[in-house]
Amino acid sequence: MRNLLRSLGWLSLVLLTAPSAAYLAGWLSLETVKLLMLIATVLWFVSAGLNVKINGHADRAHPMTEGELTQ
Amino acid sequence: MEVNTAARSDIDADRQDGFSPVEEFERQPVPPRARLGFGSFLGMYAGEHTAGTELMIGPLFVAHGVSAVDFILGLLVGNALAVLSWMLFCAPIAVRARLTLYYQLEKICGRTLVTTYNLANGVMFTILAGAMITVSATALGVWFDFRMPGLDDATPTSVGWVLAVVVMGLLFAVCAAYGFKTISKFANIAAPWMVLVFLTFGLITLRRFIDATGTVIESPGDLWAMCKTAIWKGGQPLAGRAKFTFWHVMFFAWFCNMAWHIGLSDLSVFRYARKAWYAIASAAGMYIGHFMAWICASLLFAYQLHIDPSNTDVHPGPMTYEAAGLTGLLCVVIAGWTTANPTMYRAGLAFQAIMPKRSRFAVTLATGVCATIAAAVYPKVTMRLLDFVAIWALILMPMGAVIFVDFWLIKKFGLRSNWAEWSGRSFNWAAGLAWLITLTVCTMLVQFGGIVDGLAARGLLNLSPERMQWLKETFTIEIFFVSLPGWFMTAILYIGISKLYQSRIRPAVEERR
Repeated sequence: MRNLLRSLGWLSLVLLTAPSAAYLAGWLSLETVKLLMLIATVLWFVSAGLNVKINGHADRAHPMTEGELTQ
Repeated sequence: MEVNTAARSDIDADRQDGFSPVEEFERQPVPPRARLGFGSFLGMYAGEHTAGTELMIGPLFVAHGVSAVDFILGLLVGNALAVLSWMLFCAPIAVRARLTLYYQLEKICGRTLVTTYNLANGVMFTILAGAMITVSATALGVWFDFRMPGLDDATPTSVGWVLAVVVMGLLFAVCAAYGFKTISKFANIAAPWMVLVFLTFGLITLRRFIDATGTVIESPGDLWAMCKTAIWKGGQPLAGRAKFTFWHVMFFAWFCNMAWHIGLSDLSVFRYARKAWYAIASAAGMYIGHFMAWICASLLFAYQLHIDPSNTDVHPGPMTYEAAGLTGLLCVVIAGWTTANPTMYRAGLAFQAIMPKRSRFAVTLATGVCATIAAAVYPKVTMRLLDFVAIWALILMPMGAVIFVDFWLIKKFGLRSNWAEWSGRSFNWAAGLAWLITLTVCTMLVQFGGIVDGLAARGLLNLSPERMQWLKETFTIEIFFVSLPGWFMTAILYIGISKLYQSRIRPAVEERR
């Protein structure tokens, strides 16, 4: 599951950037690029969110500076 | 600009793997078991310098009439100097002392002066959070079509705008107060996506420039020619803006995070580094966030101006929507939100240090409300973000100079380092006066033209127009440059005043002891 989600994450990032590169090369229309980027965005947040939920990486997030300013 | 503390959680998380998360080492050096590898710093810096601020900063370079050569070269050199500042100023002290900025400052300056520093920091963070609310509110403008403030508007331009800012700001404030950690986790997830969305803004807008100008790109030289003639054309800046040269860009790129490198705020980060050279990891942040992201964001505004030279509004929402549709709008909201969240939280912490009896929730919420009010009634701060960032650097930089001198030089002058700790006093006047005098002199240098005009208008200065002009041109220093002489001024003042101060106070202290 972890590998699947990770692959899905990478795939979504490729899907996010490749269409804009293709648009720069003149191979895609802007409307298609916008649609593909939106799909990639949904895919990224779903896969990364699930990855965090399943593998527990979210617990790793916590502000480093919490104790620093309060001294 | 560095504001995303959420990205720092990787480092924090790594710390948690080996020992209790409650060990923050707030008042002790970081022990060897808690030190971290290079990768932790690389990830942190790469993630945290692509933030909502970049969507405003990039376009403002174009508004200042920058040319392609000045822009690209200025960013390359300025960011390199910023990286060197982290490597040569900040990290060497951090890995030797291994203390937080605040504890180090407390030992030198005393608790009362640190509280003053906290207050200044808190106010600046609050204003920055307001700017981020403004950025995100421009996304709502795409849907609701209300009139948004233009580049020169100092006050709100429509009821719709105020409502959008209030809704967005209160939402951010409640989230920062209630769910800071949840938003931090979300910010970590969003960071890689956001960096790539910025890249797509650039790629898409380049194509639009190619189509709009009818340029045929057959070589890198053709692309560069288009950049010089159609994108960053140089020439006159927009009305009311200073003309930006290579030096402006270089100094801005160098000093926009001055509070963190030369100002030594990142002592708190690099105290965990095994080696001082790990500070080279800051290059990842500089060249992704302050090079690629600024360039891409500036392209959006340059294209808008190319299509309609009369449209000088810097509204990230409409600009990104044009380029990348809903993904662009989401990027604006998420970039603003994930930047405003830690910014409000840090401002709240700074204020809470001054009012320790208040709950963190209440203080963060109140800070968020203040940021919202600032954003709603005074959008000019956002439209003048480059100036604001330069002022922030100026205000916090002197404390970095004080620590630097105290750590490396002061004993060579026969003086005592960590004077406040040694004497037991809560306010080191040498540091306080060095800070105050530097800020006063630097402000006067920035405002010198106005001061001369004011004196002349009151008949206190009677000079020929040529002489007046010479005086103003010779002694006025733009806000973007004044922090460099300011650093040296603080260093010299701190040593000089310490010579007087320590010699007078020491006997009294020794008697008391």
